[in-house]
Amino acid sequence: MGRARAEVAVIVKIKVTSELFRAYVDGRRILFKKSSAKLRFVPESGEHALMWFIRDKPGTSYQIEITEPAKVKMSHKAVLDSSAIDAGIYWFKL
Amino acid sequence: MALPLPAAAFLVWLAFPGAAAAQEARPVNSLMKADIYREFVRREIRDPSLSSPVSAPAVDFQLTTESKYQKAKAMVGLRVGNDLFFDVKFIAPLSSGDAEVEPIDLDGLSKSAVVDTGVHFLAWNPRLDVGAAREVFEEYLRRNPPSSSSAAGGRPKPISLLLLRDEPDLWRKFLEAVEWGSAYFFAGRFKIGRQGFTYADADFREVSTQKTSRAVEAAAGVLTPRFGYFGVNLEYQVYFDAASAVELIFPYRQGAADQIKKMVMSPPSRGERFKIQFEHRKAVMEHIALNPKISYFPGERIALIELPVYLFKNADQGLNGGVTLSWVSKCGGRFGLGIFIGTAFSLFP
Repeated sequence: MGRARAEVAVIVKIKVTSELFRAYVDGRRILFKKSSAKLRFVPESGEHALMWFIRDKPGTSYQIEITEPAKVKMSHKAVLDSSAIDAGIYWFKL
Repeated sequence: MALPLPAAAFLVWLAFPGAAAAQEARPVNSLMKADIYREFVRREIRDPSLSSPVSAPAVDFQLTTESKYQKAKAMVGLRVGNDLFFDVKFIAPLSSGDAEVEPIDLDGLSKSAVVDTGVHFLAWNPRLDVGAAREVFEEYLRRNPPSSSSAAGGRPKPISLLLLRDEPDLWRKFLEAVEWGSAYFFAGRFKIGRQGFTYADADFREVSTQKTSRAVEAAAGVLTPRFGYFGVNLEYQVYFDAASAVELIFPYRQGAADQIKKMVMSPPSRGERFKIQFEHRKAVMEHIALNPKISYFPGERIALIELPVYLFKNADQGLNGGVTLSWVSKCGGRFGLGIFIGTAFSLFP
């Protein structure tokens, strides 16, 4: 008896030196290990929201990306301006 | 100061021998002289070091310090968990300092080679109103329809505050959807320093000894969304201070002449110091951050006010640096000015 639907792994990677960086998916905090996190979802479970927040000094750069699966690949990179903050959201459907 | 005509012509000849030949046909007027000076003379005699007795009347700025306590610092930091950080600083005094003069920050370990380790914990839980963000996203797509010919093939893109900079109304709406919350910071540090001392015993024989100074520090603070970081730091130090040197007169090679020798006649003394410090950190402009600190030493009833001003190009490139203005209430009050280079500003201590 196998599972009705196999889980899909979504890999989220970050490049950030700031201590004040947080990422969430569907409201749950993403805990990174070596700047990478593997999240498991049941396919066709609706739309998911990846959110991130950063506070640091102006000029700080960061990058967040979904590297797998290919159909939801995304990469976002930015450098903080004088506001010293950024927050973003990305919706994806598996 | 106006240049006499022959001098101006000479300068033209020096700068442009060929052009000078052409100038022979017409007189050098004052406008030309100003141009010649600006283009060819001032550039050459400009003196950015401000050390030459001859220099152009330009505006130059240079910071100089004659601090008796120069230090080199190196720091290695790493993330040991999602909210836990570890760092170690290696601090080496570059000068022997002056036993008679205390450093203005009253750091008992300032003359020692110090290893300073710290563990930090950070708690922060920002939130985003997904419904409001969705409205912003839909409106952004309406205004900026994705190109079907793009590499992403019209795939939805992420949106962020920085991406919405050119749409002020959407930027504001997105910002309002973010609940930044305060970030709470806790840290513990342990410092250990080793310092060598030399003094003379009662028979005027030189004695060398090494002493270990140490300090423990606890820090806590909150980073507010609007007003920056406010923190309180407590530090307890055990340190050693060299005794004051005295001048002694000895017979020179058993002869009739005398020689004067400066000697420390007693071993280093052990001191203890407790410090309570309040600090604020905030980036006030794109390239400037302030970090005012007020410290109090209850045992000695001394107050210290410091204002480091950080200047940086950006976080990832180039040297950071700045100026620290200080005032300590000891001995009727003393002002200090220090400069630092390569110290990156951080929102947390």
